Amino acid sequence: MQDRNLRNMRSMRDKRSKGIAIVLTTLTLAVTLPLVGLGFDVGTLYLVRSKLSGAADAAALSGAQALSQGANASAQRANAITAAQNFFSGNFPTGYWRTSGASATVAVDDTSTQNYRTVTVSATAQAPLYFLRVFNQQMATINVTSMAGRRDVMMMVVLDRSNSMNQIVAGTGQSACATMRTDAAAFIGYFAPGRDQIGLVVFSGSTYYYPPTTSFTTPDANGNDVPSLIASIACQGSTSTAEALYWAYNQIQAVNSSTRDNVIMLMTDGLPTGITAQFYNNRVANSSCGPSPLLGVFAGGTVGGNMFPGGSLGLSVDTEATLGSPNDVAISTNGNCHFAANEGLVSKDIGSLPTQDNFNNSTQGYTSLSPAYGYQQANLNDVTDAQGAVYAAINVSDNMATTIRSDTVLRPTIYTIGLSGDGAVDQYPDPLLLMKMANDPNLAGQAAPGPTFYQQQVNQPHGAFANAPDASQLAAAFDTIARQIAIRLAQ
Amino acid sequence: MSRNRNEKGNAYIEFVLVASFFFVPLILGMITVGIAVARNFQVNQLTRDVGHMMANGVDFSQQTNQNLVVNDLANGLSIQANSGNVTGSSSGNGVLVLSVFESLTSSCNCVNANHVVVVTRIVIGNNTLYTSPFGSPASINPTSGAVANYTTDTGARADNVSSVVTIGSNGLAFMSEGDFAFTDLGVVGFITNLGAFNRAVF
Repeated sequence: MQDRNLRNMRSMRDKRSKGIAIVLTTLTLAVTLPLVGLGFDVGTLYLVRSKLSGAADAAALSGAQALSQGANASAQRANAITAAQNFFSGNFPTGYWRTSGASATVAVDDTSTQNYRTVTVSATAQAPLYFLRVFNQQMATINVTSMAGRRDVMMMVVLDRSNSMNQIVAGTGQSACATMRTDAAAFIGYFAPGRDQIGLVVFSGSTYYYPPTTSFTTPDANGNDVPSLIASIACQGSTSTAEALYWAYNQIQAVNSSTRDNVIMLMTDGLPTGITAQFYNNRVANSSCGPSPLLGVFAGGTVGGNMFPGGSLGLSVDTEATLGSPNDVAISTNGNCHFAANEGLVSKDIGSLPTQDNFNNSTQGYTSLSPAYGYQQANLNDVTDAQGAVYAAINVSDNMATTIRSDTVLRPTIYTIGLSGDGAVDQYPDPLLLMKMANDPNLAGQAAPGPTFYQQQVNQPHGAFANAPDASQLAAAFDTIARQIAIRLAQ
Repeated sequence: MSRNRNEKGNAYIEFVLVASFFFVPLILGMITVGIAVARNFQVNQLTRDVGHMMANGVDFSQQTNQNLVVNDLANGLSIQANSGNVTGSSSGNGVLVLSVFESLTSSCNCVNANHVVVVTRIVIGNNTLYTSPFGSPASINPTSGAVANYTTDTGARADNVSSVVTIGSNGLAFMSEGDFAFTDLGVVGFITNLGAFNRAVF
């Protein structure tokens, strides 16, 4: 009896055991498949959301950059919205992972924050669900938002119009000065009229400036605007870079806006050669030159001996033939000065160079950044040393740039363009000096003492230096700097 | 008695057999595809982040910035770091091609006025995997990635960028293209040639 019962029980268990593999498989599938399905759907949503978010970021940033395009505020807004839509589509292809209804709404806010405009992109897309349809969910809506902004710039464009720019450049049929006029005017086209504030400094021995204005493309009461003034530049005189930088900085200080991005863009074709200074205390004992103050531009000449054969040297008044301006620093002198009749006789009037220029920049301090140029300390006691005068002019320019970069409130950034090979028998600009003045991060990778200088000014605003090996590449150099500034403004 | 004892484990053996031929390939396939999807996602994120950083002014010609990409953002993707250049090498399983485009206007006063040109090109990783179809400039600075003479070199023109995005006058576009081969992934005979490509443009 017991045996029979036992057999029956075993028989029943055997019968049950026969289908257990199917049951186990089904049970496992019942757990596994929904998990796979959930993973697939969630993974898809995650992927779509990531792509949508990237597209919204790109749309906002490109919209912010496009705020610089257009002649007025409404055109700039329209361009920003168009660019944002274009970049959204470019990054989120139609039907990406079978999505539908992908769209972006672009809003431009140009009033809430002073000197700052924002572009906000709200993007949405419908992503299909595959396994979650069992819960009657056919689609999932994904929404993302991204914002970017563009700061208005307060920029002084500083252009060298020294005499060396006048040489006709071989193969181009025109002077470097003419090329600069065209390329600098094109450079202005990268900025936003009505929002950005742009002024102009044009310099040779003396300096002309046009105060910064947001209406930089609209003629003022005198019929002047920045592009037309650039078009009227005539090139002559020496290269008083420090004085030009001083006036650019002076205008930035006058506007005194810490909400704008303050920028100085310096284009030069040579080494600084001029020092604007008070010379009264440096008169030779028996000079009848005067009266005080004896203010003028001391222009040096030769560096490296044969680089500038026949270099001139003298104390002079530079007149502005085309851009006449009350802003010029004019020499005060009288007919008793020997140099008034002949600049070369300056040593009969002046016994030494001053220790600082008219803008409190030391004429000493900076030596031999670039070994190739072999700079030495300026010998202030020998006014007949044209090369030493150039060293002093380099020093005041570098010190002026350092003073500007050291402003921790306005934090001006300096950008520099060096035009070599302008066709003139002249000093070419020293790329390393311009790199140092701009505080270009590439200074760190240059030959010694480049990295040392970089470390000294690493906490100051970093600009960029663009080299134009000849006048035909000046357009690209201006363009490179415009691009750098555009990237900086839109973040 | 003995037959019953033998049949006792049959169900489990059947299940193991079913599992071997069904679940194991399924799970292996899921793991393989899962890793591939994860890497695909990483490539998307990588190209997007690098493009965004470029548009914010990060200079990827600097070796330190390249290393950040290769060692951190692209960790696990087997991309080979450059050795102090912007042209890449022929080793590794991935490549990133970074380009900056600009739409030059007529005021450029240059040969390439009214064209989109590539002004910077930086290649990180295996340059044999992928070549960008957008512009083929004659000369690129091997340390900065700056395209030489892009205002005059007709090879620098990249008007076909419009197939991806339309750039406004004087406007810029920062493109990051990533192509990666997952040579270590696959199920023999079933899943081969896994990889990922993504393009982000800012």
